[in-house]
Amino acid sequence: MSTHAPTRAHVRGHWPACSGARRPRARAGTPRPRRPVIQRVWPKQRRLLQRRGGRAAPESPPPPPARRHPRAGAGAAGAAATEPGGRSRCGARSRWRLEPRGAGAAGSQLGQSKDYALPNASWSQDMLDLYNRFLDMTKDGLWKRIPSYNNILDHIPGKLTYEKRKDTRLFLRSIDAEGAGFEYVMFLNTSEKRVVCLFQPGSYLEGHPGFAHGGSIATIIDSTIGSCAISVAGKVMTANLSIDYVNPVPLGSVVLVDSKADKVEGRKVFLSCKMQSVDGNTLHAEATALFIQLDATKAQKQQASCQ
Amino acid sequence: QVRRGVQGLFRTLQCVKRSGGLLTVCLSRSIQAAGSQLGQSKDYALPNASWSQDMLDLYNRFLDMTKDGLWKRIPSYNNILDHIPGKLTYEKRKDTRLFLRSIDAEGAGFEYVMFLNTSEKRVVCLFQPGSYLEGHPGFAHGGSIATIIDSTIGSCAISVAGKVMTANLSIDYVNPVPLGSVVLVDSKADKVEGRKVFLSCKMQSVDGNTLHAEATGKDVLRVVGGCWALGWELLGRCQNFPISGA
Repeated sequence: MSTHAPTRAHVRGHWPACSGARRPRARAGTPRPRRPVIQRVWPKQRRLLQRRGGRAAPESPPPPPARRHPRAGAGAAGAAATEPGGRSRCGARSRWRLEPRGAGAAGSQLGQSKDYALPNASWSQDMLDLYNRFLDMTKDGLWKRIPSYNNILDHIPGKLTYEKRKDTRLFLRSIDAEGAGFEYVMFLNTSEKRVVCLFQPGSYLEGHPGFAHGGSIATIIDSTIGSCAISVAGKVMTANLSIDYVNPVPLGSVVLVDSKADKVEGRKVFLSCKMQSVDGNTLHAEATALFIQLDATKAQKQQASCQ
Repeated sequence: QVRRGVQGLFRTLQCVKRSGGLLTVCLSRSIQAAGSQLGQSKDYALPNASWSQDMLDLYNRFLDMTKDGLWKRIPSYNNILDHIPGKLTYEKRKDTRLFLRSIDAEGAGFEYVMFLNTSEKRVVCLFQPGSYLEGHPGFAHGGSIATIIDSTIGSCAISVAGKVMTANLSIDYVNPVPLGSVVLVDSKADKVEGRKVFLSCKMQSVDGNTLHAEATGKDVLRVVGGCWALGWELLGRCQNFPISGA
């Protein structure tokens, strides 16, 4: 017995004989020290907690890098990344849980482009008040809010005519930084042949120090008048634009661009436009324009010759 | 710092053996590098990788014309305050940008250089619209055309009459400008009546065959302003600036 080679069978542990006493044994009366448990809260659980409005959602390890769903466009990835809480990384997976966070977010989840003609953090109080006032007017059905995307092809109903070129952008939506470029929304009144644009020039539109560039004023006037002409006469192109600059527009201020179609003569559409401050006291610019209705075959020929 | 700039120049001169276009880019990059090392703002009116061959050829042609001294290349910065000689008048606001230099991506926005001829009261602008200036599919936005015309005419008016502000701009769009093509914007001052300056401008393709836009003479006028710092309302009270060449 005792002359045997000394075994270590009495030693607790697993084979081969090794001491398994790694965990500190609790003394009588004292609770056994517990290892801190890392609570992993997956995004789904975190969203449920947030929605229930219970205790604050505990911190979770950073989620895996966002993978773009094949059906989500470029706008969707951008929109999902910037939304606080990262509600959805993929387009289709969380489609069933659509929340009314705004038409833009919903659209991006369904694989559509992001609508920029919606309020964002850079909008001033004047802009928001004016926007809400016009939004109330849309409820009657007379006025309609025109959505705005960063590619011209999204504005054209028959999108499949041209192959979508990913590298171009609509000029008014070319500046990425929120609030630094053109912040605008357009409202259309078909019966009055009128388009009203709420415009807030950002800091990247500077011409004279502190004021918007004359070309940026021309651009927004051209766009507003163009939308009016398109609503009246279909596919059109600018033939003449004449702008009288009355008062310079300070950067960050809100202006109302009011355009209407005066008359239509055959293929010519005559329009006029006024740019006023929110209170109506200051006239910033006045413009008249002539647009020509495009012949469908000519437009296609031009397109073909340039490609 | 000046030494580093000189070293940069020497290194780029070593690639003189490459083709003419690349040489221009190398030299211009060295000029830009030297300038930025000396603490100045970056001059964007210089060739970069996004310029097409047409643009580079035209640029070199005008650069040769500057050697006589008649023509002068106008530098272009991304903040308006860098263009004004008395820069210390305003505290430099870091968050604003000149509209034509607001788009960061190289070649995606306005790629342009302006050349001034003081004796002829003429400013010529070489313009290549980038892909972020789209209006109709494949063509430049009417507003971007208006912007470049406004800027060119403005430079001409400033060279003629000092501090000015646009009062009227009337543009006839004749042919649309395809994205990526090079156009020549030729503006000149027609007459000066007291505080008003009348100018006209033509936008043509490189070969001169296609007229893209015209800004008519009698409608385009500028009012010679007084002092920017005082603001628009006080313009009437400011004294007229003497009309003299730049």
